[in-house]
Amino acid sequence: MMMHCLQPGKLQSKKIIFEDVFSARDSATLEHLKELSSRRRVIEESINQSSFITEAIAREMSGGLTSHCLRDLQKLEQYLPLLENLVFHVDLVCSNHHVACWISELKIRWSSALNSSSFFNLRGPKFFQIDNLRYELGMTLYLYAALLRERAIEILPTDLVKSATLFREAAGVFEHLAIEIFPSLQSAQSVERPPEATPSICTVMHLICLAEAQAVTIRKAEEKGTTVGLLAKLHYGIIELLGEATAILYSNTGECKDISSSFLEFISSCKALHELRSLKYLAESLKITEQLGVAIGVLRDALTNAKKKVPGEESWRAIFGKEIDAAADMLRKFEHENEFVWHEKIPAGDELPRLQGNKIVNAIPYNPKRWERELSLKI
Amino acid sequence: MIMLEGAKATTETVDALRTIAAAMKAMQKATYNIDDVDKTMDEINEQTENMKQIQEALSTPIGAAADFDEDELEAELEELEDVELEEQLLQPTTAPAAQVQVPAGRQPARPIPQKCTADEDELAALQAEMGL
Repeated sequence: MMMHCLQPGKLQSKKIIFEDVFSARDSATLEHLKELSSRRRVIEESINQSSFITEAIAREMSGGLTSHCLRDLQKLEQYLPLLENLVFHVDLVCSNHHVACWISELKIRWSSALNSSSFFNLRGPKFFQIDNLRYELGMTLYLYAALLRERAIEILPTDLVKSATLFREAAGVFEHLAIEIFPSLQSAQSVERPPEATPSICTVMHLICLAEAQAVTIRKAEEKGTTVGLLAKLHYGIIELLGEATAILYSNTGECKDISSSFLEFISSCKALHELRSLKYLAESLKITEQLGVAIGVLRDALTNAKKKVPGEESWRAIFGKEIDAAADMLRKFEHENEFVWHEKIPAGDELPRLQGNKIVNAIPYNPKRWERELSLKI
Repeated sequence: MIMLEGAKATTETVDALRTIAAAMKAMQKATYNIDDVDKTMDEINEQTENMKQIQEALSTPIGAAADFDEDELEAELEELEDVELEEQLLQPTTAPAAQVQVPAGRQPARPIPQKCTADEDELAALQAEMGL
């Protein structure tokens, strides 16, 4: 069982009507702007949960897709190429005064799913406005990546390979945001921004998606009966990925302040869970190589640490508790055998073996698609 | 008195020895002759040689194997083993199969190069299956 957190995908956005702001010189450009607005509206209505379309109609409109997540992904895949084209053409004339005014008139506003203050705001989520088309592109891509991740979680019970692939695709999109999109935004603006619109948080999400892809891969490995020594290293690889994410979150860049405690707890709990699993497999492999005393030492240490990190959230606590019970059960059996048969010394602290992790997953690079249509703006 | 007893013992000893010598002489005459012994030994050696030749004939390789030179084959095998060992030693240390760092005095029971190869094979199979 894996712990999941769908919080990162819960974004909202205010309405944008492109054709009311940008002046088109020809009908083709006007049509493009109207299509942009139309495609954006269906996304807004879905994420803001303000749509009046019934489930049956939504299914028919999407060509029979039953998954809400898949329908949203489809809408984003229709919107993004149009947006990339607009960004491309605006970049060509970005120094123009008219264009700068148009963009501020668009009032590009997105909420944050990771900001702790949004959670406690009784009047609804806080919206962040940044007058830059790259902000619109970045937040839309962020939503796309978050939905890819959500879809990966959705199909995990039925298709491990596809699930891992989706996690890796999401990791690729977050990496693209961290490297290509948000750094340019950073230099241009000094206004308050949502944590999602920062390279640091995008890198954190990239690492989380890779960790989740590796967790799915481990499920496959367990089904295949992979050796326990290798499983221990794979679980430890997840700890290393989440450790990198944690280091970024607690670094002093200032980008990661005011992050939701629930999100932080998710990362630390995942790390603790995989640490426990890794050490449980290590103990099994030590038992196989006739080092029962060391195995007992490893399990005792693992359980002591795990019991200090039990998460508060109900579903996570259940998964954690099950893992602790399994490890405790194994420890009881080993101690019993050692007491009656082997009488091996039980090491502790620095005498215990240390693992190195294996990180075997990589992100699938994101290749932006642009609908290559000429736009002519009246500047 | 004592000298008489000693003389009697000596006489008895000599008599016994005479009897033994006569008996041995009679036995030798009946059974052993140095020529017979030599002849018997020769026959034994001859039969042993014959057996040896028969065994060599049976152990000679038949068909294609008869063309192989054992010394050449052994030299080739040694060469192959050297090449394989060199390849294993030259493999980069950042290979996917990491090792458990066990404190000094508590070494893993299995030889590490073979365990790394097994881990690598398993990882490669898993990565192939997951499309990684």
